[in-house]
Amino acid sequence: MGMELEKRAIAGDERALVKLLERHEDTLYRTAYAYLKNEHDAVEAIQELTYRALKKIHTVKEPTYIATWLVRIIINICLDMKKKQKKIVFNHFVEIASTDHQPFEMADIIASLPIEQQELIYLKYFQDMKNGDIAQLKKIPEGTVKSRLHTTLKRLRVLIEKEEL
Amino acid sequence: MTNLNGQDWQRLPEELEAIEIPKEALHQARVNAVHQHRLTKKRKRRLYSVASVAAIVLLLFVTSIRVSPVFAEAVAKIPGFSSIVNMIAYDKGISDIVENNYFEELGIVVTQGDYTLTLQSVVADYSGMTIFYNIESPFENSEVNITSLELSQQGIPLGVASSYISSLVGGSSVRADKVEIMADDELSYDNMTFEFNLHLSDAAKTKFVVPFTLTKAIEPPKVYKLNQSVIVDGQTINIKQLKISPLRAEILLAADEQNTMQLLKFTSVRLIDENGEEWGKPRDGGMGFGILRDGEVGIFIQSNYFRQPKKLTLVMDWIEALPKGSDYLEVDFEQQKVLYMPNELDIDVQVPSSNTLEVTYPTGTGGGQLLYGIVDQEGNDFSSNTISTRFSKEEPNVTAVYTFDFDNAVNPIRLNINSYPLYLDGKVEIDIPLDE
Repeated sequence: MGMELEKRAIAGDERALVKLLERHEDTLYRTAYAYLKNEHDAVEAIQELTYRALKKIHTVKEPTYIATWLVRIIINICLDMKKKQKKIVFNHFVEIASTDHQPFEMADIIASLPIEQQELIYLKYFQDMKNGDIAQLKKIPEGTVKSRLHTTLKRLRVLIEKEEL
Repeated sequence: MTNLNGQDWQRLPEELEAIEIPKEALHQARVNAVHQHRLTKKRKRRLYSVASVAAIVLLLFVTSIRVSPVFAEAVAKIPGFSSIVNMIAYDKGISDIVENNYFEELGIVVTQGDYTLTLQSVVADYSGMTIFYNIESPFENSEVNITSLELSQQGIPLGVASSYISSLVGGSSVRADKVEIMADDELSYDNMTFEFNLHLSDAAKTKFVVPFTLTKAIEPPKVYKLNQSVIVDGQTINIKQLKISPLRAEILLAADEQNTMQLLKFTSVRLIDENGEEWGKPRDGGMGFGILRDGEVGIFIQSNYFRQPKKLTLVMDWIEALPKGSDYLEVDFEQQKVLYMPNELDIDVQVPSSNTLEVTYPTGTGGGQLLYGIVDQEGNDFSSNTISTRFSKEEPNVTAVYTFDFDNAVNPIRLNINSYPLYLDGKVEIDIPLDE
């Protein structure tokens, strides 16, 4: 599996990019859902992601960056949409999960982190990427990835404790 | 209850895994986005071709307009129209639109800082919209320009081109404008709410976003598939379809690639009914879409939508053409030198500076601009890098001075000839199959 599709997408091949988006649709959609908590908005986020990706794909320098780049855009779109969504609360999921636990509570807490750190968490824990791969992707030393993860987790811990008060 | 080391950390991935993927909806979302992206791209590409034509039309127009009192009286029924009637040439389609009450009054007034914008009325169909509005301020505003004018739906600009004319009425503090929005594909009226966006060049950079909703039914176009090849003077023209909407009719055609001549402008295009009544090209606003050199073009004709002709014939004559290979100029702007120009043409070309070009050429019946389409040595398109064009007319010639932005262009640069008064010998004449 070379990076043929990625290369073609960057060169402006519309179909290649759409194929890539299709290939990553599970992760991208689930990430959007974690933020927005309903199907309608998550689908809309994917539409916006597709549009923005088509418009800006030429700015991606390396084929290997595309996956992170897409995660970054979808997080940005979701954060924007969340702002608008504030007034409308979707509760249908809560009825199913009737414990003291709110679905995607963790996702909400993650959403209050700086975007860099949100991205890191999604890559590391939900896309199961190794520190080394993230380092290569972001062109930073592996040690830096480690220390950034550490800072992020520390911050997350503080946020969670705050939640519990 | 939540702790990072415990199972809560595991819960999110599990919750994520449990989310069902609505494959079909996601597919549709991607398709929508691709469509939306294409529209915005298309809009950018096409706007220039219409804009350049519109500039020429205005030039002709200032010298030739005579408003018939009957026309002026007839169209005064559309709110907003009467104040600009002096700037609009007689258009049979518009007269019919008024007679058939095919327009919608809006009367929406919005004030933004010093300016008040009134959306007066709209004529809408699938080919586009013509919107009448005016801008008022408590002081003289003739110096203020419109920097951007757009029609959008839910914030997304529609894939259209526009041209507008504006005139000062009631002193210099009120101006009445007409904007023509032309769809390069077809407008959709699944959602009847649109936004009218207008930006001004005043110090406060006043921006208007005015939503409006149409309530009247939109008449569908009458479409006649033609798909006929006609040979004129040895050159093949493929005539594809005629589409008649209330605002305008559009004939779609292309030149055959094997032709030895490069076809330029179709200077006379008209529809003639069984009584010999004619509908010609529009007299102002947009003239069509596309450039023949690039493939298919759409040429606008005044609309006879509200008529029921028994017979309709399409006639196109005075078709401009030059032998292929003699249809461009080649200029080295760095050295300010003309490297090639077809010597059988009666034109004069000067390069006064490294980014200006001065051309003098005879005006033809079509009044088209001599040049359109600029490509540098590497094949990059610089057609939209014209910063300004100034025309001066001295019968029978026009002198045009162009200023370009050629910062990233590689010399020599090729400029295509878009219009020149040499014509094919012959004409196109085909009957429109009305009863299909």
